[in-house]
Order: sequence, then C-alpha cells, then structure tokens
Amino acid sequence: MSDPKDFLTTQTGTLLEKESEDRFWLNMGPQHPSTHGVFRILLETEGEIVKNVVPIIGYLHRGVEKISENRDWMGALPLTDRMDYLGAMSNNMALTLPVEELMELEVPRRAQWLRVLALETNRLASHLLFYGTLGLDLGALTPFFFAFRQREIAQYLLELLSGQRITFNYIRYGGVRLDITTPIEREFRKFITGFRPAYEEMWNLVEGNEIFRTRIIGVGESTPELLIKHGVTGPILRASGVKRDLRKDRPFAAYDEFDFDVITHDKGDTYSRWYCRYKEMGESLKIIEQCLDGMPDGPHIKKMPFFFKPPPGEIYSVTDTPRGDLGVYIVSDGSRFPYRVRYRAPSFCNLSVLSELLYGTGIGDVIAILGSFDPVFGEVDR
Amino acid sequence: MKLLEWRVRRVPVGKISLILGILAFVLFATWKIWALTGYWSLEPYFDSLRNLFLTLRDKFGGPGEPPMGLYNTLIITLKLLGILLVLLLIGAYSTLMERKILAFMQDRLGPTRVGPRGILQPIADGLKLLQKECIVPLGADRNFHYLAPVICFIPALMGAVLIPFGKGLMPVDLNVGILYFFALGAFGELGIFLAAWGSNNKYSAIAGFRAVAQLVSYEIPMAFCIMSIVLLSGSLKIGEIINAQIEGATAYGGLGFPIWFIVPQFLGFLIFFLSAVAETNRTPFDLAEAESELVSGFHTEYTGLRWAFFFLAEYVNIFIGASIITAMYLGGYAGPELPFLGETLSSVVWFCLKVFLIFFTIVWLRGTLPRLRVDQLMMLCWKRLIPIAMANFLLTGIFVFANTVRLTPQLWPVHLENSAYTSIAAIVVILILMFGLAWFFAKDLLKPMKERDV
Repeated sequence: MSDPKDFLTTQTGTLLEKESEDRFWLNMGPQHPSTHGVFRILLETEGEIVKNVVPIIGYLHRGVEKISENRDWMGALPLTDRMDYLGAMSNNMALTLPVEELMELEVPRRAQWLRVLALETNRLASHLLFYGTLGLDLGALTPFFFAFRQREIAQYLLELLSGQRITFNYIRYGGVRLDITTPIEREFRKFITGFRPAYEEMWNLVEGNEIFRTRIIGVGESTPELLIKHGVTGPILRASGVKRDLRKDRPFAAYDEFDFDVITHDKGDTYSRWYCRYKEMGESLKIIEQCLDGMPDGPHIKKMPFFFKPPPGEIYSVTDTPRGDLGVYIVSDGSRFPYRVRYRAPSFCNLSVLSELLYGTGIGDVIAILGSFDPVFGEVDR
Repeated sequence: MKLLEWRVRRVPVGKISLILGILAFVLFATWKIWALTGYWSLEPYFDSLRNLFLTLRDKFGGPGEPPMGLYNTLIITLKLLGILLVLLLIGAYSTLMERKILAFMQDRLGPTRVGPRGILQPIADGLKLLQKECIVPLGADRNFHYLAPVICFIPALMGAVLIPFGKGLMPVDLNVGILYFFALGAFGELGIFLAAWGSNNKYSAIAGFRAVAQLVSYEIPMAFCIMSIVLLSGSLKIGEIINAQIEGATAYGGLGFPIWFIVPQFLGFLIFFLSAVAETNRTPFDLAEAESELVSGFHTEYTGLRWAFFFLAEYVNIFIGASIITAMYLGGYAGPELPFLGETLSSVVWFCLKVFLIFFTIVWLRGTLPRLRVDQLMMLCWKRLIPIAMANFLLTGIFVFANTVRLTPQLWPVHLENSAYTSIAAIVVILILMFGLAWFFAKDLLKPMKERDV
C-alpha cells in the first residue's frame, strides 16, 4: 500500500475531513514503542493535531477459532491462553463455562473458589501492567518499576498455582488443574501484606503528580451512549459511569458468594479509566483475601475422561475479563471436536471506538488514550 | 531491489573525489610555483607552513607575551586535550550517575556487571558504540545527517571554557560571558533541527519542529533571568558574577553586601532551572525525543558513534547548564575552606557539590514526572514563565534602584542617619517585598494547568 488515502477509500474507514496541503500522514506501528504490540494507526496530522485516523489490525492473526475446530475440546483450551495473554485465566474460564453448561457438569465448590482466586490474581497482574505501561506511555519511568515489582510476585503466585507464568491452562472443564497447598496459600498471604503499602505508593505517584493529572484528566472523553453504541465493555465502560460488571450482573464461577464493589467513575476520560482499573486492583485484593479465608473443602476437579463428547447443541456465554466482556459461542455436533468456536473479544470491540476519541487530539494524547484502552493484540486479532 | 540500491550508494564517491581534489591542488600549486619563480622548489611550501605556525603563535601567545616555542605549544595542546578528556569523561559518567540515581529511586540496582559496581559501564558503552555501523537512511540528506551530530557536539565542548571549576580555575573569563552561553545554545538547536530534517523521517521531522519551538521559546525566560542577575552583579562576566556573590561588590556595581543570588532571585532561580531543563531536552520537557510518541525523536535514524555524539552532547550540556546555575545563583565555588584541602581544592569541592545537587534534582525530575504535552509545554513558557520572569526583572530593577539609593545618602529624599540599623532595615524590607511578590507570582506558577489551547 503506497498511499494511505487509497487504503482509506478502498478498505475500511472513511475520510473524516477533506485533505489539505498542511497535513501529512504519519504511520504509527506496527513496530512502535507504545502501540502495545502490533497495532498500526495511520494518522493524518495537521502539525500535532490528528485530523484523520485509520486503525489497522490483523498483524497477530493466528486463526485461533479455526485451529480450535481441528483440535478436540481439551486441545482448544490452551489456545485461549494465547488470545489475551495478560488475562489468560479469564480466557480459560470463558471457554470452560459454555462447555460445562452444554454437558451439564456439576463443578465442585472448591474448584469454583480456586477459579475466582486465579481469575482475580490474574486481573491484578493485568491491571498492574496497565498501570506501568500507562506511565511509560506518558514518559514516566518509575510507575513501571513500581508496578512490575508487584506484578512479578503475582506472576510467581500464579506460577505456583498453575505451573505456568503466562499461558496457564489452569481452569479446565470440570474444575481446575491443580489444588492449592498450604505453602502456596502462605505465599499468597505474604503478597497481600506486601502489596498494601505498594498500592498506596502507586496511588500517590499518580494522584499527587500534577503533570500526570494534567496529562490524563479530560483527555479522550467519551459518553456512555457512544461507548454502548460501539459495544465497549469492561473498565472503559465503567469509567463513563455505567455500572456493568458480569461478575455482579450474571455471576459465574463463585462470584455470587463474594463481597466486592463495582468501581465506576463519571467522566469517561483517561483519568477515569486509570481510576477504575486502579480501584479494581483493590477490589481484586479484597476477593483474594476472602478466597483464602473461606476456601471450602472438597475436590478441586470433577474427574473427566480425557476425550469427551458434549451433546449436540449451541451455547453463547459471556464472562468478565480484565478487558471487558469476553463472549464465547460454541457449536457442538456431538463429536469430540468443536464444530465451531467463536470469540467476541473485548479488546477488539473496545478498539472500534478509538478513532472517534482520537480525532482532534495531539500526538501525545493518541498514545495516552491508546494506553488507557489497554488493548491486547493477541485478543484483537486472535 | 532496495537493498541493491543501497549497496550501490556505498561506493566511496566522497573519498575518490577528495583524493582527486588533493591531487589536482598539488599539481596546480606546483605549476603555480614554477610559473612564478621559474624553478622547481619546495621552499614555498615550507614558507607557508612557517607562516601558519607564526599565525598560530600570534593567536595563542597574545600580545606582550614571549613568543611561543614548540614546547609551549605542546603544553597548551596537552592541556586542551586534558580538558576535552575530562569533559568527555564527565559526559560519559553523568550517564552512569543518572542510571544509578534512577535505579535507587526505582528500587533496582542499575549497572553492576562491568567493573566493580558497574563503574566501567560508560566505557563499555562507548566502546560498543564505536564498533557499530553508522547507518545512513536511503532518502536522507547525507551531508546534513553527517553534520548534525558534529554541530550538536561542538557547542557543548565550547561551553567548557565558561565553567568556573574553582577559584582561579576558570579557563577563560570572557567579557561577554553569559551571552556566549546563549550563543552556544542557539548553535545546538541548529544541530538538532539539521538532524531532524536530514533524517528524512516523519517522526524526526515532528521532533525537529517541536525542538525548535521549545528551545527558542525557553530562551526568553532564561534571558530575562540572566538580565536580572546582570542587574544585581553589574557584569556579564561569570567570574564577576561569582565575586559579586562572595564579596558583595565588583568593579562594576553590586549590592554592597555579600549574598547568594538565589535569595533575592529565588523566582528567577526556579524559572532559570526549569528553562535550563527544557533547553537540555530533559524530562518533563523531553518532547524532542519523546520515546513513547516519536520513537526516539530527532535521533531516531542515528546509530553508533553519531548517536553517541548526541548523547554526549546532551549530558555535557546538562553539566554546563548546572554549572551556570551554580555560578549565577548558588555562589559558584563559594564555600568555607575545608580542612587539609587548601583554598583552591576546597573551592573545587564546593563547586562540584553544588553542580551535583543540581544534576541530582534534574535526574529526580526524570524519576518522578511524566512528559508534558506540546501545548502545555508552550503554555507553561509563554503564559507562566515569561510573564513571571518579566515581573521578576522589573522587581529586580526596583530592588537595585532602591539599593543604590540606600548606598548613596545624598540621593535620599529625606535625610536619615546612615547607620547600620537603617541599612539592615532597608535590606530586610526589600527582601521581604521581593519574597512577598515572588510568592504571589509563584502561586500562579503552581496553579494546575487546566485550560487546553489545542
């Protein structure tokens, strides 16, 4: 593609404004330090001001949905880890849920609680990464190190729990793969006590920082109507004042047994998104603590054959991930292979609103807004 | 195909033309000598060499000094090389210092592997950069691309003559002193813009526009601060400015009482410090090399030694800026004599300590603050710093006028006893006035910036 304008008219997108001589096209990505992976945006800028935006995705497309059709049900599960690699637990959860529903499996209560423990620890790690990278996007180095020091411990805990650091493959059909042991529980408690002061410190580093606040308050403001129109979910939607959290609205795993708040903020700007994710970390910590305190006894997984055949049928189920609502639509024809698996990735839907928010902002704000969306391109492209 | 094209352009056209040119010049000169004298001789060559040496002697010896022999020339060359080496080492080790301080702020260790506690890290970095290839992008303007790091680096080195390392250790006390610093700053901007333009990269181009706007803007509040200092000390010479702070008076004016200029010029100090940080392209004003936005800004397309020149220039500039701040506001090398060190050495120690303090603060800013947006950056300069700097300049004028009246009782409207009490009272009143007004404006400076002008 030689001229971005050709691309603009032939492929996706529309010209938001007529072209003028003072403008030029700036190609940002797919190799750029702060597009969070392999995202590509074409920006037409007039000086620093963005006049046209063409987001281009697909550089990390691996055909997860198609590959799933050639694996058996168990083989489809590890592929979900590779979608949202920062919140792999919730992706496991998203696929296990409809399959269990189709097979009418009774999942042991301890397994449900372990799922919540794993999901929330992973959410914490994911939001910590967001905290660090937003700082980096704005040009501050220290928040990154503060966040990653804690994230490292969270990853270590998940490794103790599941045996893996990133691609956990922990939540299985019928339960979870490994049980928690007393030493691991002790490590979790150690983490919680150590995390509290760091959490306060992270708040002060941004909230007491005038330049930080100036850079994110009022940047990329959005209205709930716009976000709902584009199907945006998760912390971004909650940041504009919509109280929607599937953990509360349609509890899966054992979320109905836990006491936590849904964090919302009214502005819908970059600061609100930061605020929501930051406060959600505190809520996750609360849930983890409750998990450790009231972990029920029992088996951690319902014994299942390695090859199994769910009855024919189709089910769509939605779960909450750190990035929004991850919908999974499965079709089974009664064989041990999935007939069709379809994912509705939250990052993908969230990104669709990006170009409307970017219009009229500066190049610095483009990075800040994109950073506040916290997209994972493994999930966008699948 | 592209690769092939790139290879083709690697033919050393420059070297061939250089050799041909020299050859042509030698042939031409030989022919000219033959034409003028009628015989073949090397004598005119020696003559021209002798003339060059004599010119050098005149330039370096100065009037009234004995003619310089080869020995003296050597000594001066060695001294210059020594200063160059020291400056390069300061530039290189500033990076290590910054990395260590940042590491301390971020709960890490920083470089530890090369040498004991990572002490040789800058040298290893330098050696690595020496070995790397200097890649020139295909569409780049090769001459600008080559010249830009040189133009950035030379003013940084030239600034070294201004640094008052200690008592009597100032290389040259120029009579235009502080203006020279400004001239060098403008020179450095040219280098940055050439790099941005010559790279043929859109990110670099945007960085270049940003850099020029930023650096030109931030010179204005800086100039106002310096004018206030000149009013207080009565001289542009850096040595005289330091003397005015130590002794209270110079041959050209001064306040009549010794005081570090940070006290009457606290606002000026803040503004000058901020502007100096902006002039050296440091966080939170590092928009010209904004890593997360513009990849690496104006030096995106630079590798190897050329990149190292930008890098060194930046750190040497920080050092020079910190030295100027120290000299203008913190009394330069002033400080009580330390035991066992003697007058000169203790003054060097004091100077280094103050410079380190400024450097540490600059690194501290980097460890704490994110980058400003472009409009916020320009707004800070034009709507906040420049008006405050102008007000500060005006107040300093009033202050100096009042001080002059105090020093010359015949100018007083009402005759008062010129006792020590009235003097002290006048000083205190003036200082309180200065502080009050400074605080009044500083409140405005510290107000959050909410408006957006985009």
